[in-house]
Amino acid sequence: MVRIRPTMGLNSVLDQVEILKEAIDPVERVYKALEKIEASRELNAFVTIDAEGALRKAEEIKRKIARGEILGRLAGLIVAVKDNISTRGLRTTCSSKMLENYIPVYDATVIEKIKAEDAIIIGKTNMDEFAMGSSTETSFFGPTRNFFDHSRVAGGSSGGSAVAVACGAVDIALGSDTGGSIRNPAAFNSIVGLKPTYGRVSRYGLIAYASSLDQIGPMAKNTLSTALLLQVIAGWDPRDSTTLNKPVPNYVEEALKETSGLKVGVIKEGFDNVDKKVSEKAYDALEALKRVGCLVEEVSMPFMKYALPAYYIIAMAECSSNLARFDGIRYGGKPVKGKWEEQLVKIRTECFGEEAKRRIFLGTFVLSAGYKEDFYIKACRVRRRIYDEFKLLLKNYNALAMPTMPVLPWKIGELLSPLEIYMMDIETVAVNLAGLPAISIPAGFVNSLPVGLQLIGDHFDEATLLRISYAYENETGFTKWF
Amino acid sequence: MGEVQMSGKITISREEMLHYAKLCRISLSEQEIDRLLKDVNEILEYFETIRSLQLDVEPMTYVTGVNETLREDEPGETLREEDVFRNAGEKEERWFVSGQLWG
Repeated sequence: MVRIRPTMGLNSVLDQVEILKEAIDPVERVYKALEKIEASRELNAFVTIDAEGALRKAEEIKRKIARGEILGRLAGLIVAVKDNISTRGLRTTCSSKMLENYIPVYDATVIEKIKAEDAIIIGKTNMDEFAMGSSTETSFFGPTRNFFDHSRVAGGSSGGSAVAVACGAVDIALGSDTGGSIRNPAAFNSIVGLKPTYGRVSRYGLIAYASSLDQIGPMAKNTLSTALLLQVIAGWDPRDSTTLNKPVPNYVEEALKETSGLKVGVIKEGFDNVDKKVSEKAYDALEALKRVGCLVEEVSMPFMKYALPAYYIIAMAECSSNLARFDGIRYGGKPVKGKWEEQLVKIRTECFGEEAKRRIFLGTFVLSAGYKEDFYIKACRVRRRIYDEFKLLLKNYNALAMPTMPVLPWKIGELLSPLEIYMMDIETVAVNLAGLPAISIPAGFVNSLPVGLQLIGDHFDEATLLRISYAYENETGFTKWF
Repeated sequence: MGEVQMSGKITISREEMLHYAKLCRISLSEQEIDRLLKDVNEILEYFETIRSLQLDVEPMTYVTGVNETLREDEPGETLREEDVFRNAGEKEERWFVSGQLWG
């Protein structure tokens, strides 16, 4: 739904992406989206649908058009929002029984921003409970199904957002990525998903899982929509002290730039534990990068293999602290009777799912006296080494590449042990430890199941990733694959 | 406390599991204890891969460092009272109601 107006010079900064507003009525678009959602009900991509709010916004845009007012940059675009991003007056559950009835009283900064740009929020998408999972199977509301094979997982934790985009119900979606949660479902549903640099996008209003790793990011079928959404949500926010006050480039304009001569380092270790057929597809995608002028060569990152245990220790430690706030007294509306301590235990026992409990438990353990140095501090040292290795490589390369996922989407319920599922994050977590931006782009299909290629950039250099993605999109035509 | 085994590996016993569950304010059924014990010890064994590393670098907790975010202490807009209590389990006038803390 986004097109470049060919007559516009590159100087017109904000206005170069034009919505086909003259052709399609925004109210019509909302009805079409609602029909698609209804037709795709089986996929279980949405937790809450806000038809009323979406139609209200569409009517407002229609009035603006009639009055000849300036429209926002996302005017008329239908957006799905992951259910851990606070939306004022619209239920936000984190796919947990704990927040089953929680209605935020304020908007996350990213929501304020997309609303100001006239986006139409159609609903909230399913996810792993509190974003703890890699397949959207831990949701209290049941798993989201893969768009390409309904018996398989959608990936996660932003599985609902990815499927909402893939099935064509929405133009763009917001996800969050703590250890791969945007890139993983993007790869599993053949769409584009970008995890921005830590500190590029405000986390204000994002219900925290692991605060030093979490980041909100855009998901879409094509590169330019991804770039546009990133442009809207990026930037410094006084309400999130981890955001950095750096200028936000025009990502759409950046994406259009030439790619010849860009150096891409292929991380050798990133292929160590990957299904052979998935690797082959990733190598094919690298060939396409060569065709658009990128210089592709192999590089090594010896500490890559330690990223997964380090990530889980840090994420669990942070989650055990973040989830301590859920006592049923202030949010979630569980009536309180009897003794406080007993009620607290009862509410947490009843309302947290198995995976959330496991992570809270392990997080408490790795932070406990006597073990903190063995686990948490050690993991933080590994984190520094991984950061250093990435920075060294990124001095010589514009981007690094490896597969997004080690395998094809698995059957729902197929992976039984928690550790087996944790292993699925082996390609994605290192990026979060280092706070780097990374994008997953479609790399073809194996047995009709999608594969993704991951590109990793230097801090605050999302522009280069989008540039490579756009050239690759034109070379391969991946938006027309389904 | 977890236990350091002869092999040097750290594992958790059933009693310790109950202790940590108490710290988390989560109660576990017999069945849950068995399953969690198995999962947790399997995961801890995997964590051993980094426990033995000798690393001469400073731990990194945040990648962006500390930002200058101080501002003037001026009153600004805040949530309305009705909004603050909107998601409360129970309220009484201007207070959240919680269970009995003492006694």
